[in-house]
Amino acid sequence: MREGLREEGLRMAVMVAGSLVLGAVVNGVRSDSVPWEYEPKAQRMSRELARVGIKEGETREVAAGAIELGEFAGMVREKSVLVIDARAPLFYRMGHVAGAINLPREGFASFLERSGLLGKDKSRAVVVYCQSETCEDSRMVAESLRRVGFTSVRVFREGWRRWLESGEPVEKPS
Amino acid sequence: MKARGGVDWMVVVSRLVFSGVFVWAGWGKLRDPLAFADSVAAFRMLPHPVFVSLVALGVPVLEWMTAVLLWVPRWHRAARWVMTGLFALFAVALSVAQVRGLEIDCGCFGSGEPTKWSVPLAWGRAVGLLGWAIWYGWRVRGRSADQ
Repeated sequence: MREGLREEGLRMAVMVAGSLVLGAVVNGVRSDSVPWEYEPKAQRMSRELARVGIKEGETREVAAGAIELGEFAGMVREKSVLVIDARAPLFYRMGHVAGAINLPREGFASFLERSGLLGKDKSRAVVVYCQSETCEDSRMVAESLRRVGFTSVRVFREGWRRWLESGEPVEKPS
Repeated sequence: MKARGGVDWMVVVSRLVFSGVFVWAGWGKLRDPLAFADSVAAFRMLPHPVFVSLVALGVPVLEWMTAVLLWVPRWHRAARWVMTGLFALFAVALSVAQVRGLEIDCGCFGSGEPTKWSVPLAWGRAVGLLGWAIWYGWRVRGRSADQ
């Protein structure tokens, strides 16, 4: 009985240890690997900002600068706002607010450089959104845009879900 | 509910469901390991960031391994214990999150969008699966996987 338990315990230990080793091997070969010491989102965002020359402190969520659906929709129709979609590229490609540029939290620096936004008028009105009220990415991206010099950045907190429900114009790949 | 050949279909169906759940859950986590690490960190239960990384790397592979080994006679019993342990661990973590009132995505089947129902629903699912796993263990006690 005791021998059997020891054998099962050993097998369970092999399963757990084997999973860790295999997990580490898989992690070592993939491009989107997890660092051995996990970095919170805010720290990763700071690293992204450092790549575009902004080096002080952590990027934190911001509470101010929200915009409501009605005003946001009006600005989109008039094309008087730079719209930033802070969701992951996969979701952006599935559909986004008409005219929006994809600038996700992960890989922020690369996306920012590729977008050409750094060379544009930084006093222009910018609105950032992500999926819904519970996602924090829009606030983190908005704060990061402020730190790279954009002076009028607001967050559409209700996000893509509310936009879609409202029937406002969207762009989808053909 | 055994057929004439001695196969216990309730056990076979249970094992199929458990394996399916683990393959699906592992795939969801492996697709975006960093998002899963964010979900693990959101529980605020692990004392050091290294543990967050270890859980994010190890759990999806352990889920796949369990899904496979549930069908291997010599490893079936150990896989059963690991499966029950995983469900118990998820249920405890989600209970703590619920008590703390955290509005997070559990990351159980990959990253998703947290709502106020995410944690209670995931908790209910984990407790249900834990109960099923305990019943399964009782049902197959003393048997190997091919029975």
